[in-house]
Amino acid sequence: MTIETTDRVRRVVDRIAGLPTLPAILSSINRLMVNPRTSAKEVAQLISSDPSITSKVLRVVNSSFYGFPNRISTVTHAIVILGFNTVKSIVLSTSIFDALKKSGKSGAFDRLAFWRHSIGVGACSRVLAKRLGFTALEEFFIAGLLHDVGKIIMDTYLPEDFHAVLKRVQDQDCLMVEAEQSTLGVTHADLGGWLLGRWNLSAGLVESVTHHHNPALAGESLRAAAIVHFGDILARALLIGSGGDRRIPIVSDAAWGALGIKSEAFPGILTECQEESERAMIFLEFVK
Amino acid sequence: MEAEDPGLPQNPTPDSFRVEAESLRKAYEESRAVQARVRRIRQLRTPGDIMKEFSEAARASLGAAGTQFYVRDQAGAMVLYNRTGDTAIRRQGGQPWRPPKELLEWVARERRTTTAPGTSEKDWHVLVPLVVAGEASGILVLDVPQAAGDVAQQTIENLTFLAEEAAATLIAAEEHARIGDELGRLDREKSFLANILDSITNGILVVDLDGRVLQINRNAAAMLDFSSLDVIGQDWEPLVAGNIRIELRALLDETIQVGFAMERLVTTRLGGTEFPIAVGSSLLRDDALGTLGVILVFRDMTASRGLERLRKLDQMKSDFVANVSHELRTPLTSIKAYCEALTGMAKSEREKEFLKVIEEEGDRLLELIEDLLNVSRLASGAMKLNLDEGDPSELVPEAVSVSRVQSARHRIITRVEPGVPRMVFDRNKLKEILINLVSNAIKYSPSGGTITLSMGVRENNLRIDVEDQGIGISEEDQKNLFQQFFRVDGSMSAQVGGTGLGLAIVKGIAEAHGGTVTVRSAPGKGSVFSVILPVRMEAPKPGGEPSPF
Repeated sequence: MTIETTDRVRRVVDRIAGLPTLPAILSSINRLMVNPRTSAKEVAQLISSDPSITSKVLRVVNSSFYGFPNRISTVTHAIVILGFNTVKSIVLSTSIFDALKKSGKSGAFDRLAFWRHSIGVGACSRVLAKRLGFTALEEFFIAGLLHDVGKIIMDTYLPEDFHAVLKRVQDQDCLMVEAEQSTLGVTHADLGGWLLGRWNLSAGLVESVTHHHNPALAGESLRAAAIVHFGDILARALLIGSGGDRRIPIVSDAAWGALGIKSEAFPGILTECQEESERAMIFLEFVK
Repeated sequence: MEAEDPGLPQNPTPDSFRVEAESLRKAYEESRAVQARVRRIRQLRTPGDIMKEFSEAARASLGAAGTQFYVRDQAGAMVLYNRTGDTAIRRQGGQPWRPPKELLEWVARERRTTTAPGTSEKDWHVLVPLVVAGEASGILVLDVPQAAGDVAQQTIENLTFLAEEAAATLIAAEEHARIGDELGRLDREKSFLANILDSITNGILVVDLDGRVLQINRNAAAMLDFSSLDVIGQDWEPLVAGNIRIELRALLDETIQVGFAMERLVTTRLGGTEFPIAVGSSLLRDDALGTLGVILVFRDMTASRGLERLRKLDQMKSDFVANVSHELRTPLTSIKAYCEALTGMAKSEREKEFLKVIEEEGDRLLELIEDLLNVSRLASGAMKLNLDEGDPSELVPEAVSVSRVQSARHRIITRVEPGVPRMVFDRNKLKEILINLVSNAIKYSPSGGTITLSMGVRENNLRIDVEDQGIGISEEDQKNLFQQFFRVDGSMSAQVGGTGLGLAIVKGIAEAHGGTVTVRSAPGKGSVFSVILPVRMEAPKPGGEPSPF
């Protein structure tokens, strides 16, 4: 983010009081996992101390999203079966839904369609990352899940501005990001990236959310941002939920270059994204 | 690290720093151990060794007691791989734990290291996929006799890393083996082609458009008097003697400009001897028909020149024999006529006796000349048959009465089978065949014995057999028997007089009638000569089937 953008974001968020926070358990998990000798049992004990998160984690790990053939009955099982990072990411995503599930104030913004879209982008990003040989797949799911989190901030804390943005989108049939730029001077991507930074999430997550409309600016996180960028477009093409506008942006040249996906792989990718998105809808339970 | 209040970050204490430092040190040691394992795996080349070392490493890093390895079979199912050894722990009832099929498939699909509960909390199984080119081609199953919850995150990471390295090494090993096979194949192909080139009796020299040697075979190097075959890449011109160089230069230029050139004759001098060599050329083209160079083919003409010389010599000999025979006959006829006249005028018995010897020897000489003339006619294809219809069996007593005069010591039996038909043939020539064969039989049966002359008909062919009990003919000699001037070599036959033309004439006459002559014989076992002539009822019409007369 340029200094100028940072300033504009600050001017906008200065008007916001009581931004959403993530539960402290996440930073405790992070701190535990810094130590490579930490055992599954230790992390499981920490998670199990929050019954609400525990039940959500078990719900997700037993869903078709992971499709493990046997029932996983404890968080320890979940960790040894799916891995430390997977379980940590599940805790993070369920916490995000908890923090952001408050209903919007603009009234004109369909939150359920928004979350469908976000989960879809998360699933599509995960599929792409797997195809491209990345191992930290859950990070990509979360990046997709949170790519439009800036829109939630506007809907919740800047309802009037957001109303104007939505009206502009409707009148001019433009992209949300274009309407935001002309209305507010900042975009949902800028705001989302800023929030993720505040939440102490990884630099890769922050950068890929901030630059999901223009991956060329993502620097070291170019490939991650390109995956979220492409995941967003795939989810729109597959008509999974709605991000607030009906346009399908074109894929940026930087993304094509960074990902090197061949056109003959497309039919397979689309099918896989569709299936993965359907399985990921388990997370919708947490926003209701 | 039991957290009292997991909701809040803990305040670090000196004790917790000490514990953390200790676990980091252990983690570092574990990483180094894994690095050492990876280096060892990378040294290996065969899939069996790699899998074995990988199993070993995985077992060491988890303290696992047993390993099982699963691979995809051709039908696509994950099956136990026995070659790395199945050391799964056997427990109650002696049955080892086997991962359920769905679990193996899940690990293969998700391509992630996972853990499956066993029969108790203290009995776990770690499943590590071996991912080759984006597909899990195998799964290592480790039986871990400890609570799964105690497994540190680093251990799982290390296992995954080991599996990735093992998979990468497997790919490299397969590629290495494939390249090795390919190189071996190319090598064999190359030496096969080189063998073909060197086995061709012609010389082959391939030069590129800049005149550099692209390929040369042994014969070309020998014909051009190169000291070594090691001339690939060199300019051909300085390597070749001056007179040939000019011819080759012209041939190459013409071939490159026009696309083809007439064969040229050059002379090469090797060890003081000159050899005629014909040089042909063709363009060397690539798949796109672009010209890469010129192929020169050198043909040693010595052999074909020799043949040509022999052919001419043979012709000269035939002409000479025909001419000489004619020239000899004329004076001999005069000698015979004057001899007859002198016999009438002779007074004393002694004079008559001398004149008779002259006449008899004159007759022999005439016969000999007649034979020579016949043979030269055969050779030039000028034999004329005097065809007439008749009964060939009539010739049998005639031929035998002539031969009886030759020897009183031999018994000659004739056997004419009933049914010998009237046919068209040259009476005098066929009689010559019979006399020749019977006369030979007598000559080559020096100790006397029986000679059988039989005539019959087999499948519309006239068959004449002359059988003797003489010295016989070796298989080797039978091959040359019917050639002109051939004499069966040996101490016995050397005493036998004759021109060596008899059988050649027999063969010529038989073939002129469209027939054949064959022999069955073995040394000491006598011989049977068989003449077979087709029975014809009318003379062949001119312009009909090709015939040598």
